[in-house]
Amino acid sequence: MLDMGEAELTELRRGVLGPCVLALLESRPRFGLELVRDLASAGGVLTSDGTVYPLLNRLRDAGLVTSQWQASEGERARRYYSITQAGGQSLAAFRGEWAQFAATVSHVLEGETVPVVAATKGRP
Amino acid sequence: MSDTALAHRLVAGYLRQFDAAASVLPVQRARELREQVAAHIEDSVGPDASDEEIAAVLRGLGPARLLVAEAVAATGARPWPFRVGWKGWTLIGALLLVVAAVSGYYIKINSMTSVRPLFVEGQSGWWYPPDYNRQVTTQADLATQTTVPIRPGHRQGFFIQVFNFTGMTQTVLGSNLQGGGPNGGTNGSVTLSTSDPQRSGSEPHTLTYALPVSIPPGQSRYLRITWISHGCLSKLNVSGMDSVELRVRVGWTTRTEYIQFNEGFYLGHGGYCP
Repeated sequence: MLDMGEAELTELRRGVLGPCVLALLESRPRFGLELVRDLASAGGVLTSDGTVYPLLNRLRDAGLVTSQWQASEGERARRYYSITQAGGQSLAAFRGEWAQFAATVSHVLEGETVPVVAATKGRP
Repeated sequence: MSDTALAHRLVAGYLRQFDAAASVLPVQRARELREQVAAHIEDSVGPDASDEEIAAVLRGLGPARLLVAEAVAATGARPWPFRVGWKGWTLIGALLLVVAAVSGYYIKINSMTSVRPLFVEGQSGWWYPPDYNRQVTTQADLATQTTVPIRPGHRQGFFIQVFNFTGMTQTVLGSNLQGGGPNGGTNGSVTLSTSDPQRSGSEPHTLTYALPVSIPPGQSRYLRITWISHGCLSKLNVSGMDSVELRVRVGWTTRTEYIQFNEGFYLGHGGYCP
């Protein structure tokens, strides 16, 4: 059973997994296991290998990635995922938000003063 | 040996669990996710992978139900009528059939038991000329009584006409007289005409009588009751019948119908006794 810390961490991983996948696909198309291994090697992002596939399907439904079958010589056909233009824009937007967000969280966690920009952002 | 790890028993078991859990997903989404999972396994291990290697890959994927739960969270569940699956619908259909059959049975039974009994109407009278030639009819209040002298040692009796005004055939099987008759009469006989006097227009004595006899809806029969009389009656006493109980089969059920005559048939004192 997950304790409170693990549950929160799982939610956090789930929130950033999409942008991480988009970031990996930004460099080149990848097939499923390849993505899983790259994410796993980054460490701490994946809760389980299987979570990548529902996420890929969701990203494709949202028009952020596409997939197509490719077969290499002597190997079986694999479904390769590529980032779309919308996916690239979404990733760029996330990167901009993430930098500020991460800085804000770090400040809060370390007991420092919350930057004004982050504190007022999103208020009516 | 198979050329893919998918044939491995651990993988087959995992995919079975996945299929069971994925029934909540839209069909296309479930098929797609299964294909992704299968590709993940095939890419991860070769056909000659050991049980430990395969188990490690499956552990990495996570429990199939959690994988499906992720997919449900991402895309939503399949509408419930589709989630039931063909086995579920077969079971539901079978249950509905059973319920319908049981309901139909009870409705049918109820309709049978609620069918109106045979109805007395039309012709009636004493059966034998010595009786109907000497009958005396009296009325008191709303009751009519016809009395004839008892003739010891002779067969006496009467007939009435009964109608089946219901929508179901009624078959008369017997009566409560059990071979008896008024005033200790014996060799009692309860029979019905085998044809409908309304249709044939026949006089009661020309028809054939038997038991059991079926009375189709809307038809009538003569009910004839005779017995051999015994003993004598004083001038103050009469003995007779104004009703009879018949065992009647309606559909699958057999019941007792109480038949009240429009007039009473009684034996009394007469010239045959001192």
